Amino acid sequence: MVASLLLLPLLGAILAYLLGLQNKKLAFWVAEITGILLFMISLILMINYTEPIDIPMTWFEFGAISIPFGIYIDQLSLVMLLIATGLGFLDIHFAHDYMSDDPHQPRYYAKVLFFIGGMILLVSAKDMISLFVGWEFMGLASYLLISFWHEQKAPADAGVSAFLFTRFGDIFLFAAIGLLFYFSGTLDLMQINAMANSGTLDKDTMFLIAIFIFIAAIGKSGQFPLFPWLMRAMEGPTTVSALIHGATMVNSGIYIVARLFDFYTVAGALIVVASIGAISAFIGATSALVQSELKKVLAYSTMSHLSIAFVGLGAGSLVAGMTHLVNHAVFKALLFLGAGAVIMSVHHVKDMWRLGGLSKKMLWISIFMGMAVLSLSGIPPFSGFYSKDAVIASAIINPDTTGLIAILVTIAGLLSMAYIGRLWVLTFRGEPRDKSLFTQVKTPSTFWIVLPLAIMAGVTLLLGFVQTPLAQMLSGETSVKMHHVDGLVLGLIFAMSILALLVYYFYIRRLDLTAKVSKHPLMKAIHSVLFNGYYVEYLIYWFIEHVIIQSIAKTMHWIDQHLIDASINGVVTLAKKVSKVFGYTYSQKVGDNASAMAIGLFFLLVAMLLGGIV
Amino acid sequence: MISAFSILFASALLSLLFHRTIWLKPFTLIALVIGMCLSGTAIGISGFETSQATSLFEFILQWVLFALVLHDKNETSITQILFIGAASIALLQSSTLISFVISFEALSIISMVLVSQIRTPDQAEGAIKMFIAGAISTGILLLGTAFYLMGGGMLDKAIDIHADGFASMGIVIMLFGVFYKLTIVPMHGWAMDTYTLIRHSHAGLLTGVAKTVVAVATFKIFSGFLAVQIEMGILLLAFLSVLTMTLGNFLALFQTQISRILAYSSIAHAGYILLAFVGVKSSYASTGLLYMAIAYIFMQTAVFLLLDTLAHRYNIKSLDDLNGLGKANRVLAFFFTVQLFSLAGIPLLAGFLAKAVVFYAVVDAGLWYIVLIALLNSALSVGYYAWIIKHIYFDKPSTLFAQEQTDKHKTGKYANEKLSILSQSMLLLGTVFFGIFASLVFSVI
Repeated sequence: MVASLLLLPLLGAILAYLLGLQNKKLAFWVAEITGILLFMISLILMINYTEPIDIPMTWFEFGAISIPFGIYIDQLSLVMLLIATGLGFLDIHFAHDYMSDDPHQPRYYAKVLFFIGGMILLVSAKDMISLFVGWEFMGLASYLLISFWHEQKAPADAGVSAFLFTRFGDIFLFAAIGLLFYFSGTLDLMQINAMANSGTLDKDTMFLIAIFIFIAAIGKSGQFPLFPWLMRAMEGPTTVSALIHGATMVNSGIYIVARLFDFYTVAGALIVVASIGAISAFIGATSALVQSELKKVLAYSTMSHLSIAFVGLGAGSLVAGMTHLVNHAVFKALLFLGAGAVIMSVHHVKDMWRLGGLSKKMLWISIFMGMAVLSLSGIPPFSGFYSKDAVIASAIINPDTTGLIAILVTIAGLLSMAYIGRLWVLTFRGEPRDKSLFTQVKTPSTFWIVLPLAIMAGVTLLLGFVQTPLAQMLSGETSVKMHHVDGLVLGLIFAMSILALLVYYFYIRRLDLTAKVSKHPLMKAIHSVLFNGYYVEYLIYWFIEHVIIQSIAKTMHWIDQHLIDASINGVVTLAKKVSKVFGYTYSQKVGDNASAMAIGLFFLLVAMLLGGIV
Repeated sequence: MISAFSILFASALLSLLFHRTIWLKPFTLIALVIGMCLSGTAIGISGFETSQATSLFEFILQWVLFALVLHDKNETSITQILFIGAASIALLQSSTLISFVISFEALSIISMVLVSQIRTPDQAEGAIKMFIAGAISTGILLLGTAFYLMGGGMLDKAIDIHADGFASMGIVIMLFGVFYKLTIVPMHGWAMDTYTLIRHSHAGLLTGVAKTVVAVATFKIFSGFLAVQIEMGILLLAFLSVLTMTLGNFLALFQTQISRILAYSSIAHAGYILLAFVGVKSSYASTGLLYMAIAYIFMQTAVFLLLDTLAHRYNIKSLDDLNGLGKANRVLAFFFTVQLFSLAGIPLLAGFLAKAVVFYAVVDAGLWYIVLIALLNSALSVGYYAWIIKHIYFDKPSTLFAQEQTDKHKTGKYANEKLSILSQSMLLLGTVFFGIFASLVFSVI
């Protein structure tokens, strides 16, 4: 069962590609069947769950060195598996129409299955090695998928950017693995937690390792300052965005921290997690307010919501962080696929200012996306409400995070109402702003497009009612304490309704007023800061360009040219001479060969005589 | 008793019936598949024993022979390939001196029959050189045997690990005779010409298959003696090993003919193989040698077969002819690149782990300075492997490919291409598989 779960994606990927070369439609069907099988397997594993599936395996063992490659599936893994395979399947289903015009479908489905396979391996990993392999599979697959339309410049650049940003983090993960192996002697995730709890490891070392792993998590989950790739990744197909942002990749950073939660707690690294999370949440939420592209709003909101989950973990509440991650995965995939449906219907226009009034044309999509909007903003009884509330409450209660961190995350939580409301209102309500575009809107297919959205919308509503069982499953404990602060819920809902009214006023009633306000120079300046994600990407590039390339790299280049190259050239000359000397041994005459053998035998005998064998 | 040996031997005799018919290749392939299933069964005569290591290697050997037969275009050497397979299995299983000497000679003689399919003066030169060198080395081997017997050794027993006096001298001389097949300096002179002048597919068989089989069998027969008695000999072996790899690598560095680069790289690899003999005191040495042999049989056979295909299709001889292969034929370029990476020792490919294990064994035996030299050599070798890849992908395409494009439409002489790609895939599978799943070899006793 477990083996098929791990191997099926790879097999499906190969099969989808090869069969797809014969007939394009086959690629889809292979992917669809693989997707549903994977989901079924995860579901069966979940239903039959009694205790963690633990399969210790060794990659190779040599002398004192033993490199493990084990599988460990507990409830936390199972929930992540259900998300990856379930949302992955719906995503594949949705792609039937979304990618129908693309000539490279076999390649697409093969990559998607490979991607899902990477996530499955990552969440079923027993040790750092299998986790790292899954981690890298996903890194590669994300590069391949984001730059799927690699004939165009922007997607190709976006793919490279995603690869480099996550790669930067991966270096630290690799270093952390090395440190762990050296200091603790084990790579087993459960043992690492157990060792942390028993206090056998040095605190400072643990802190360093925890930070290294967290840097990798920042890269993968698109946190400050390694988030620019997340926005650029919007250049890929929207189905890929849904996959990356909802079902798989960005969750992996949070998953790894949750998996090593005890380790992080003892190492005292949770405060770092919470701080980075709070900063990212604020940046993401405020930047999302001003984006004009449909998908960019969603991208920044992903960043912000993942940060909320990180703050939940950082505030010491594994349950709050992970439930928020799960809830977010569902409604974010729904939002992305909904956005995909909209973009497809309006002939690939992504600018919200050219849309509007679309609920007249696609009522159901607007309703389902509306449900996701409510869930994301945190309106009861949708799932997002419970977890976001729990995160904010645990941030307030924890004395370490009660100050600035709690304030930032509360602001981010509230603002989500504003930006996502703005997105929904601008897209679906009001008058169509581009009349000619509006007349050309296509109606999406019910079975291929609306059905997956309906399922996800149902799940996001349903999840609201099963938060306690979900929390129990994620933490593995029977009684879970969700933090609550009196009056918090009321206050949040009150603030959100004000924000909702503001959105309604500024984006439906008085669009002219909005236009006037945005003309103001101060507003313009704020707008451009927010619009460009606080210029973090520019700063990173500036730093690379001026500090790394211009000074360090130039110095290195000089050293390389004048010292290294010179010595290498010397070595080449030397090698040529040596080669020439050896060349004398090569003779085309058989007699020389024979005499070399005879002389060799002679020297051998002399050596033996001297060595006293005879 | 039916063993892989008897299957291959009988089918080699029977294959003569099928010559010049379309049944020859299918018949051979079926025989090899049966042989693969039977690998590990002992020849039912005293003097031949199997172990896990030989069983694994027999299977791999027949796998590679299968790929070789698939690749073979004109089908004139299939009988010889089967005979070589049979002789190799006998050699691998031999556990007494007499069976070792006889199987070794059988392998040498059939190799000579193989290369004696002469069409051009060049091939004649290569064959004759191999023949003369082989004759001398047989003389040395028998001289060693004679000394060994004079010192009280027995022919029909395994090598006496406590041999001394003339017997131990005989063993060292025997080893020296065997080194001819392994192309250890100074017994390497013939190899250069033979490998470059004879047909590339035959060279692949000689350097890829025959050499590894001899290495594994020699280790099996002599390692017990060496581990006990090596005190003086170890430095001699280490010196020969270092000399062989250094000479091979330095000479390969500035060659312009691809076949010469590969021939010298084959000599350099003989040095790495000999390293396992140097580290014989370590318990990892046998694993190291087996790993080296497995990696080497896949990569070396693959590169020579690729060269054969390239020479036939595009008439490629020198490095400059390779320019732009990456664009003209992506599949062949890919196979070539991966196998060269493996030869250079890039991680996740068999060549890397093979070197790593051998080096580890030598360090374990307490000879870290030898490993240091070997590592430097290994780094040096990346120089010429990477250079080939540079020619394949980064240089302006040579005119050879353009000519081929036009030819292709006129004649249908590339019907064999699919088989040859299949054969390369089999070899690539081995290189990649043993680069990742190391525990299979480590668990073998």
